[in-house]
Amino acid sequence: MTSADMVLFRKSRGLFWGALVAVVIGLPVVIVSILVVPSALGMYSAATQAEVGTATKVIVDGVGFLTIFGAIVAILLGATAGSVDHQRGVIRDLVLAGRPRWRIVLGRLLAASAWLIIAVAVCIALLVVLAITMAPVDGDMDWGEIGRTVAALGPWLLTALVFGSGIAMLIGTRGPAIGIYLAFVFILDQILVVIPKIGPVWEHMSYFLAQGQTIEWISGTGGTGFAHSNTVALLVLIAWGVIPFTLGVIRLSNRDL
Amino acid sequence: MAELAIQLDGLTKRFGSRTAVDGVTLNVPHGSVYGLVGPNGAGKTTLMRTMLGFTHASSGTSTVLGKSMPHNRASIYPRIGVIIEEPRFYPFLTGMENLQQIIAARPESISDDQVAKALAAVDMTARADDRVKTYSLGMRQRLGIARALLHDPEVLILDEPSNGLDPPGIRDMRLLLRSLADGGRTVFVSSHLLAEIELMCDHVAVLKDGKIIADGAVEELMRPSTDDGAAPVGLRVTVGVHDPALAKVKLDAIDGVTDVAMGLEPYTVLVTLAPGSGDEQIAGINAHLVGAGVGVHRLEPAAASLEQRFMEIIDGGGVG
Repeated sequence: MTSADMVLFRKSRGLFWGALVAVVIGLPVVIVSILVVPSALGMYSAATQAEVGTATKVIVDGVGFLTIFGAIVAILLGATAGSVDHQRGVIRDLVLAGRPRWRIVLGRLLAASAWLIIAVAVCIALLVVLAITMAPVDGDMDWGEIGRTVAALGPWLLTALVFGSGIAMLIGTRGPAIGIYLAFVFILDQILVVIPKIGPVWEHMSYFLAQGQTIEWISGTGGTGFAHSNTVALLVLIAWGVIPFTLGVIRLSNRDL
Repeated sequence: MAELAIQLDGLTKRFGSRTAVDGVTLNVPHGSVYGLVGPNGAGKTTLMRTMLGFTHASSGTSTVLGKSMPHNRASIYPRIGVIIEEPRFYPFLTGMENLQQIIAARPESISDDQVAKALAAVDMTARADDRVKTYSLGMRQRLGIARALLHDPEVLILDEPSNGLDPPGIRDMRLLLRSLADGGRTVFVSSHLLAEIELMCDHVAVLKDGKIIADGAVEELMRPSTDDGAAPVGLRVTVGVHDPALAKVKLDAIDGVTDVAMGLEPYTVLVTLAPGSGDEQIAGINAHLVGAGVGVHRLEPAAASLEQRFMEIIDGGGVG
């Protein structure tokens, strides 16, 4: 990765920065509001309030929201990394400069990862500050639980990032890659699991089940119904990133300039 | 150093049943400016893309700087400068930032001086820090040339480099490319601007329907040919008269005159004589017009331009 890779993302506009700002600033505010305002308005019973109202609980639930919204940003970043040079028509000039296509995409992907980590770190920092300031119920902070929850986000978001870049390389453009990811993870994958005959086979390779198992393994919560061990779940999740990325690189490398 | 900068041997590119480039054989000497001309759809861009290995050739070979393409493209690409079709950039970056993207991808370092020199060569220094989305087509073209020149390439391959340039820009481009060739660089350029090709190039090839139908030194190509397969072309004479319309009517009736057209200048007609004609026929024109009461104030041979020869070659099917 070079500073040029980082600049390419920093100078981008529109959807990219809109999504990043929404996650970094908008999401913590919205999450804390959702979790704190009902308590402040007395909408919860005392027992519920005690259960959901501590700062630790607000942070952990807030990080949970990031599995959806953070993944969308990860897909957007990954798809941008996989398609920006091709879509802008500059990939030919980069190849002429002497850089192999897989290295061009890898550089962009590392820069996208850096931006994703920065965005998630800022989001979580803001979430922590807001939760500690506004949590309606006092309680000791459980930093271990918070750390495990944040760590569980890592494989999930990075897989989404790499998956997104692979799809974008395969189809050569960013927009549809985001739609394909959302449709696959939240609709197709879950339908395939419940279809008779296909489901019993698919559940061994389900992206959604594998990521659920991985998150719950790392965060220390229960199982999800994935058919294999935690290690296999992690490998399946990695495969869902690596396979589309590899196919994308092959497609990109064989595409006419 | 290989004797030829670019050597194509039977290069062919087919798209399904359509043959876009058909058995092209070309030799581009080192240090020359080699022009490629042809009507729209002749296959000029496809020829350049195939030659460079941007797309796989259906058959034939392409050798650039002594190495076969596309097998050696990783070692050849950093030694050449290329613009194929309209140069593309990241519109949200400045011109300088776009160049830095390329510099970061290059194996060797490019000094600030080299960047400044490339920008100055295309008169883009003042606008280098503006975003590319604010550039005109001509400015993007200039920046594309600067990008191709960054690393002082041995060979420049340029597809319509004058696109979008204003007349001073076209002249500057011609002088720049000529000076690069004079400094030992090789320039392979396609263009629709035949007058520019005529002024700039040492050699020229005419492409039609994917085939080379004429090629050679510019002076040779502009000389009317009597070879088999060539369009036979006779002498052209510009005749200055007081009444061009009447002169045309009178000249059309003379044996040995194959064509009479209104001249580009006022009060002139352009007369084309049958192949083999000479001074005697020219004197006959004068006598005939004067005898018919048409005042003649000027009579001189008209030099054939590359554009005229191009049209003759394209219409006639080629030069052997």
